Amino acid sequence: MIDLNSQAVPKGYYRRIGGRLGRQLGPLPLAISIARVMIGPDHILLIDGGLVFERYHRFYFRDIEAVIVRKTITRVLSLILMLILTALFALPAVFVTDEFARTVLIVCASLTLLLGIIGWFRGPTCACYIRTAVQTARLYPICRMRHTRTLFAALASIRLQGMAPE
Amino acid sequence: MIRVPCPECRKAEMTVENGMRMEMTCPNCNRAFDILAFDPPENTGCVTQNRISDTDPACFDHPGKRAEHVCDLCGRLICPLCAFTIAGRRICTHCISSRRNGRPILPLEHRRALYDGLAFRIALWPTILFYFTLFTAPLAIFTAVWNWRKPSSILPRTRIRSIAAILIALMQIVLIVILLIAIATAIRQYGD
Ligand SMILES: [Zn+2]
Ligand SMILES: [Zn+2]
Ligand SMILES: [Zn+2]
Repeated sequence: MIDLNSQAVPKGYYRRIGGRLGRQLGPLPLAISIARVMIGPDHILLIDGGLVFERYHRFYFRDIEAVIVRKTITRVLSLILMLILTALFALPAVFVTDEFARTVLIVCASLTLLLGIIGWFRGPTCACYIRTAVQTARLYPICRMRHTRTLFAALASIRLQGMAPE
Repeated sequence: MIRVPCPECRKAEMTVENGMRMEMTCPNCNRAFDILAFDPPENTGCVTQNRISDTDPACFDHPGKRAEHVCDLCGRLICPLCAFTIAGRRICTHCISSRRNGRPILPLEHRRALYDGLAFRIALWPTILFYFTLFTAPLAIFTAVWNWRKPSSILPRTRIRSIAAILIALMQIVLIVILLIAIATAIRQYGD
């Protein structure tokens, strides 16, 4: 039994599952962590991060009744949005005679196109919920289908091991 | 059977077999869900595992004794003999013995302030933003020079903005170069 009020849990106690968006980007502390989902030995920890405060929500495996996943069309929508932005930047670039303006427009168009392509290849998007007897909570960082595969695999292996009472 | 309310519309319920993974559609909003239902929670003593009668729960450790309290930390049902009151909280013997290193017994934390991160950001942001001038300064000069001959406002105005932009950008570049030279010298001195 780990004392969860201690200064910090030991290394390797939690395993992170889920989106990169909710992660601090390397050594750059400019990035604001949004949310993280961690899997511990007997519970899932949802960390809501802000600039100063972190909020913790714990879902103990023994309380979890169901995990619910819904495929979303976010991936298609964001690709369409990015393609529209690309077109909005690229079309004027064809007609603009000013070389400086054209350079800026082309740079912007390639950036939005690149973002759209990256978003598409990060895989199908989804919404993931956890159901306990008292609530349904959305795990925001689990937003791609490949994350849910990891989550299901982790929960299945935990179920196989059997949850021993403390 | 586990009844799962639709997480999107919350107006209908779907029922899933225990331990099964099923594709379900909400009867109300017609959204499709992939639901993994778990086996019923194992009895860890936190619910009424022991009973004296149909209505009276028994203590987790003393099956013959009537439970009168709930442990504030683990939720076990406990008899008055097993309940300790510490800092206004009723705590069972299991939670007391699982206490480690003499730390005080507290409820689980739900929020923490990360002042180390805040201090780090306060210290670092101006430093990092300063380095952005490495890119913005040449960009400012490029913009000013590239468009030097092009007409500006329809109203008469001097070239003071372009000149100021170039001067400020040059100052920033000089500062960065000085800083880099200083760092390089310091590193070389350390190396010797
Ligand atoms: Zn629904
Ligand atoms: Zn307890
Ligand atoms: Zn007792």
